[in-house]
Amino acid sequence: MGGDQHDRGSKPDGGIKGFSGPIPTELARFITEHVSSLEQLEVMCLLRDTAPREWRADEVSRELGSSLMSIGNRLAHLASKHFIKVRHAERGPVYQHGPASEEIAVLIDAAARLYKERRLAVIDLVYGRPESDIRAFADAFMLKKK
Amino acid sequence: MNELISGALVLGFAVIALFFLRFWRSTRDRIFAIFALSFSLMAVNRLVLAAANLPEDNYPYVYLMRLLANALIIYAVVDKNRAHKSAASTPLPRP
Repeated sequence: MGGDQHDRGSKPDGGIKGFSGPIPTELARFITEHVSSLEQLEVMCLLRDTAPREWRADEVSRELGSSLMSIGNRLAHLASKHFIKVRHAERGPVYQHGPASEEIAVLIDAAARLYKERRLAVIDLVYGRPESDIRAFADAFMLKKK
Repeated sequence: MNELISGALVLGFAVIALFFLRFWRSTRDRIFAIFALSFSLMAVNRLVLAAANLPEDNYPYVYLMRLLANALIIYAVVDKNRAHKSAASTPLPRP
């Protein structure tokens, strides 16, 4: 995985305030619930940073230096969650940044921003989840399902 | 025998309170902070009942502490559901 690929900021971050202090709860929840690996986050950030460019799985695989099968699965998964758009072309599916809702778009922007500014915090959120059981216990007190 | 049971209860409530405190420190979920406070109150309540030879007239005041501890648990659950509804969190940075 490209170590410095998070410096790839071709998309202007015009006016977005940087993160300082605790990570917003909504964003932390989004990352812990929907980001299962850094590769997946890298794919999401790549598509976001290069929007509106369309990418094929092999192009993303070359860009990120990761296996084609794995990247293909990541893209299909992100498309199934409606975090990115998919279009079926002659040479196979092509993917493009295009979250289904404004709310998801804001969360993806914030996650990408956080990943650039506080990489270790994101790694901790994705891989260091010792408290997930505790969170499940806390969520058990919710009277209505999410 | 009563003293033994009271001691065990004080220790039990204190340990539970410390567990909730640790959960709160790792998740920052307010429900655990309130639970920790509630169980601390229960521990103190048992300690007061065991340690102080209170005249029976003063018992209601001691039991008010237990009432408060249980009310805190109810409040914590209500607060948890309310917080989820309003999604009270630090605002996300927006363009």
